[in-house]
Amino acid sequence: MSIEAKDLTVKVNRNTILVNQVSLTIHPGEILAVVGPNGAGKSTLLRAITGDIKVDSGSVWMDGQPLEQWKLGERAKVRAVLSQTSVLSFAFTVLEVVLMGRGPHLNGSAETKRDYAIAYEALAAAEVEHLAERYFTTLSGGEKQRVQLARVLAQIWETPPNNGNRYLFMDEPTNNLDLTHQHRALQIARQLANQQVGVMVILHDLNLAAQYADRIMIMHRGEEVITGNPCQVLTPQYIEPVFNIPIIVTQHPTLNRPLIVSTA
Amino acid sequence: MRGLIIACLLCLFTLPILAQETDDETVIVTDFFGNEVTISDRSRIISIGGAVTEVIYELGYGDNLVAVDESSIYPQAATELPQVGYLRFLSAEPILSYNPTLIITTEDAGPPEALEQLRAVGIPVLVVPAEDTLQGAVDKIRPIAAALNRVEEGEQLIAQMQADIEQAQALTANLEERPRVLFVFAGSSVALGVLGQETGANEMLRLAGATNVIEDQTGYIPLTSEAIVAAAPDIIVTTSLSVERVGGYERFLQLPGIALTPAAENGRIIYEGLDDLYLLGFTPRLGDAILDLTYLLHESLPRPIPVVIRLNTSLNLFEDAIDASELEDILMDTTGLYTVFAPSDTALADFTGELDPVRYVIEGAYSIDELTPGTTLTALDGHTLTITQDLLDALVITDLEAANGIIHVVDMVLSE
Amino acid sequence: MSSTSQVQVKTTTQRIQITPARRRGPLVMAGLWVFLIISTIASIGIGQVEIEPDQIITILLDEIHVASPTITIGDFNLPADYTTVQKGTVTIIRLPRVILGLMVGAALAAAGTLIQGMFRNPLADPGLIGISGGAAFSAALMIVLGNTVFSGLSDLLNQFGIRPVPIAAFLGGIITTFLIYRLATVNGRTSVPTMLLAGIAINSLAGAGIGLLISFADDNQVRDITFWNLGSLVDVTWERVETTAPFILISILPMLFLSRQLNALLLGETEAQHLGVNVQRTKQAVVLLSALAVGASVSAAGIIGFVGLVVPHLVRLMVGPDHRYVIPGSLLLGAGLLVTADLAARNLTGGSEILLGVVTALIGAPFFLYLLLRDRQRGALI
Repeated sequence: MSIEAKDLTVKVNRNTILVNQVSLTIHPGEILAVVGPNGAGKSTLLRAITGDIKVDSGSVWMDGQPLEQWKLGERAKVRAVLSQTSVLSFAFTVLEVVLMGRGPHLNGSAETKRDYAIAYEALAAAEVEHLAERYFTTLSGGEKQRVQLARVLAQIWETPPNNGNRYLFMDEPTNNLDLTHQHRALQIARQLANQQVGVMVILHDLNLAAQYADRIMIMHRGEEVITGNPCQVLTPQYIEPVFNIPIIVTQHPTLNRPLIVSTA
Repeated sequence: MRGLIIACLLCLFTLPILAQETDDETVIVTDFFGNEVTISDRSRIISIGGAVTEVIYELGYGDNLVAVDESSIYPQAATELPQVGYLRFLSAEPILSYNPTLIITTEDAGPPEALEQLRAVGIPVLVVPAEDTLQGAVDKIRPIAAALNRVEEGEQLIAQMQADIEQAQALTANLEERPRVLFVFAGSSVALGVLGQETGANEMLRLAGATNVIEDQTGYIPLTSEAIVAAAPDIIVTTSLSVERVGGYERFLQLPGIALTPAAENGRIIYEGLDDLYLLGFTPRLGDAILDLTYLLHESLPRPIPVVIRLNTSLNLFEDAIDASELEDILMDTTGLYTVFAPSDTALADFTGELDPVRYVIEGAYSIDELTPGTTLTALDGHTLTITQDLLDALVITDLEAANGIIHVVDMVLSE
Repeated sequence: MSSTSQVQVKTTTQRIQITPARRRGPLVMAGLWVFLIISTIASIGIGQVEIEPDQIITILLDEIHVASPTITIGDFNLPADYTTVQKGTVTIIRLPRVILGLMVGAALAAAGTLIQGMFRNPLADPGLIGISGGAAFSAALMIVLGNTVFSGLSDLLNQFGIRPVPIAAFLGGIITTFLIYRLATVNGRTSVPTMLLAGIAINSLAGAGIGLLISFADDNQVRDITFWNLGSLVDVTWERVETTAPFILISILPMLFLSRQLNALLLGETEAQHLGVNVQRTKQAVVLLSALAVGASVSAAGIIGFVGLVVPHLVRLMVGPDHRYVIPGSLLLGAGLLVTADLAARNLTGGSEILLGVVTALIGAPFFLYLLLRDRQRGALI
C-alpha cells in the first residue's frame, strides 16, 4: 500500500512540457524528498500527484485505487497537503484555522473536545501554541507557514480507524522559516514518517534533504534524473550538471549523512 | 337679550353643519379599468392628479378634499392641503391616514399595487382616463362629475371648455401662416427634452394653430443641440416650471442650441404664466390654455382687453373677477374703446371686500400722458373716478395696449 | 480505536480555549433573534395610520380566528374596537410588507455572505455576479419598451396576472448571472477572478444599456426606473409575498449547509479541495443560490443596496468569520435591519416614502467607511 505515480506527463501546450514521464512511489514510513533547480517541475509534479491539476498522461494510485476514484472527503481524512501560499484574508484566529484541519473528520457536526485537543497538540508541535488567539492575518510569513503546518498536522493527526495509511505532501515547507523552524518542520515530518506516514517533500536545500530524507529524487527540466538514498544520489555526478555549480560532497560531522559544499 | 344671544350661538353651531352638507346619493361609476366603483360618501376626498383636483374644485367639492398629490398646484387652495406624495410612487398607508371616503386619481397613478391595497381596505378608488387630448380632458371630467353626483355641472364645464377651444380655433382658422414651434420640456435641471408627435404638447400646438417642428419623431426626445438648430423653430414654447428647473430664463437661453434658433434671436420664447399643469395637464382650464397659447403664438391676432389682461402674469385675480362678470363680453367686443385701471395681484391679495371690476373700466382710450391729478372720469357703472397723485404713484405698468383700449396696472384698490 | 500521533511536543501548558465564534456565537444568535422580533413587532405596530397595540393584537387574533382574551391594563384593553381602515392597514398593507421585507433582507444578507466567501473578499457584493445589473437592465427594458416593442409580451403576461417588470427583472438577473458563470468556467473549472472581471464588465454594460434606455424614456419612465433602481416595499401585496416566498425559502435554506465548505474555501481553492471540499460544486451552489435569492428579492422589491455588503460585516464583527455563525447571523440581522430600514423609509416623511435603497445606503455607506477606517490596523477586514 502506497501512493504510486506512473509515467506522469503535464504539458502547458504541445511544446512546453512541465513534467515528462515521471514515476515515483511514496511508501508509508518514509520521507521522499524531491530536489532540483527552479523550474525543474517539482511543484507541478506534486500538484499532479495530489490531483490538483490534470495530467496529460499517466496515472496516480493511492492504496491500490486510482486517485480520482477516491471520494474527496475520504481522501482528505488520510492525506494532507501543505502548500506554499496562503490567501486567507478573513480574520480567523489561529485556532480556528487549525481546527479547519479537523473539518474532514467532523461529518457536519461541531468540533468535539477531542478535535480541540488535537488542534492544541498540533499547535504545540508547530510551536505556534502561543499564537492560538491571534488573528491569522496579523502573523508574519513564517508564523503563517507554521500555522498552516499545524493545520495539516491536525488533519492527519490520528491513525485512521481501519489502520490505513496516512500521507503528507509538503511543498517547500521551509520557505519563510528561520533555521530553527526549518529543522522543526522537517523533524515533524520525520516523526510522522516514523509512525508510518508517507511523506513527500519538495526542498531547495540539498543538505536538509540529505539530513531528513530516506530517498531523494533529483528533477531537472521536468524529468527524473535519479532517485535513491541520499548517499547514492547526492554526488557531484548528478548535482553539478543539474545545478550547474561545482560542489564537494563530504561526510556530515555528526550524522551519517552526506554534506554538500559549494566550491564556486 | 339672552334669547338673542342663544339664537346667535345656535346659528353659529348650525352654520358649519349647513356648510358641510354634502350629497350622499349612491352612484355607481365605471372607471378607467372597467371597475364598477360604488360611491356614496363624499365627505373626505383625496385627489391624486392635478387635473383631477381642478375638476373637483370646479364641481364645488374643493372643501371636501382632505389631501392631494404634489402635482395639484391649482387652485391656490389645493396647495395648502396636505400632500400624499407623487402620483407614480404612491404609498397606501399615508393615504389611509387621512381616513378618506373616496379617492380619485388618473390612469397614470402607480404603483398599481398601492391602488389595489386601497381598494382591498374598502375605500372606493375611482381611476379616470388621462389621455393628453381634448377628448381626454372631457373623459376625465365625466366620471368625476358622475361620482360627485354633479353630472349637469360637469357637462357645463365641458361645454364651456369646448366653447373656448372653438373660439380659439376660429381665431386661427383663416390664418395662412402656421408658426413652426419647438416644445421644450425639462423634468429636472438635467433631464431636458423636446416633445414630438403623439404628445400632449403636440396636441396643444395643433389646437392653438401651430406646427410642431419635430415632425417625424414621436414622444419625448432628449435635447440635442444640433437637432434644435437644424429644426430652426420660429417660436419655442416651454413651461414656466421648465424654465425654473433649468435655473431661470437666462440659463434657458444658454442651453445648447437654443440661442442659435430664430426663436431665440427674435425673443420668441413663450413660457410666462404657463405652468406644467396648465399647459400639459389637460385640465378643465384646457380651453383657457389653448386660447392663451393661440394669442401668444399668433402675434398678428388683435388682442382685446380681456386677452391682454389674461396674458399678463400680474393680473390673475382681476382676470378672475372679469371672467365672473358680464364685462368679459363687453370688453371682448373690439368695436368700442376702453381704459382699464387694473388692480394688480399684489393689491388684491389682501383685499377682502367685493371687487366690482366695472368700477375700474372707463369708456374711451386714455394714455398716461392724458392723465393728470384732478382729471375726473366716469366708470362704466356711472361712478366718478378722480385721478389723484396717489393713483398715479401707484401705477406699475402703464399704457398696455389692447386692440380696443389701454390698460394701466395699479398697485392699489380704488376706494368707493 | 484510533491512536494519537506521537509527534514530540515541547509544551502543552496552554489552557484549551474554544474559538471566539463558539464562545460568543450562541449569545449573538440569541441577541439577533431578539432584534429580529422587536423590529418585526415595531414594523407591524408603527405607521402613518394610528393603531394602538391592543387594536393590533385584536386585529391579528381576529385574522386567525382566535377569540381574544379579555385583558384590561390601563388604556390597554383586549379585545379592542377597530375600524375597517385600521384592520385593512394591518392585514393588507403592513403584514405582507413586513413579511416580504424579512425575506428580502435575509436573502440579500445571506447571499452577500456566500458571495464574499466565494470571492474570498469581504468587499464583494451580490452585484458582482451580475444579478442586480442584469435585473436592473431588464426591468428598465420593460419599463421603457413594455408599451411599444414588448407590448405583445407584456399584454400576454398581464393576462395571466403577471406583472411584466418583476418577472423581467428576475429572469434578467438569473440569465446574466448564468452568462457570467459560463464565461468564467473553462473545462469544468470556474475561475473566480474571471467571474469578478466578467461581472464588472457585464455590470457596466448593463449600466450603459440603462443609460441608453433612459435617453429614449419619457419623464415618467425615467422616474419609474429611478424608483426601481433604489428599491422599495411600497407596493407589496399578499400575492407578491406568495410568488416570492418559495424562491427565497428554497434558496436560503440550503445556504445553511454550505458553511464548512465556505470556511475551507477561504483558505484557498486547492486547500479547500485538500480538506475534502468539492470546490466546483460549492461554487455552483453559491452562484445558483445567491442568484435565486437575490433575483427573487430584486424582482419583488427593486434594488436595495448595501444590505448584502454590510450585514455580513456586522455579523463577522460580532462572531468572527466562521460561516457556521455568519450565515444564520446574516439571515437574522439582514431580515431585522431591512424591516427597520423600511420602517424608517415609510415613516420619516409624510406623503411619498423615502426609497428603501436610499435609506439602506444612507445607513450602510457611512457605516462601511467607518469599518474600513477602523480595521485598517487589524491587517484585514473582517
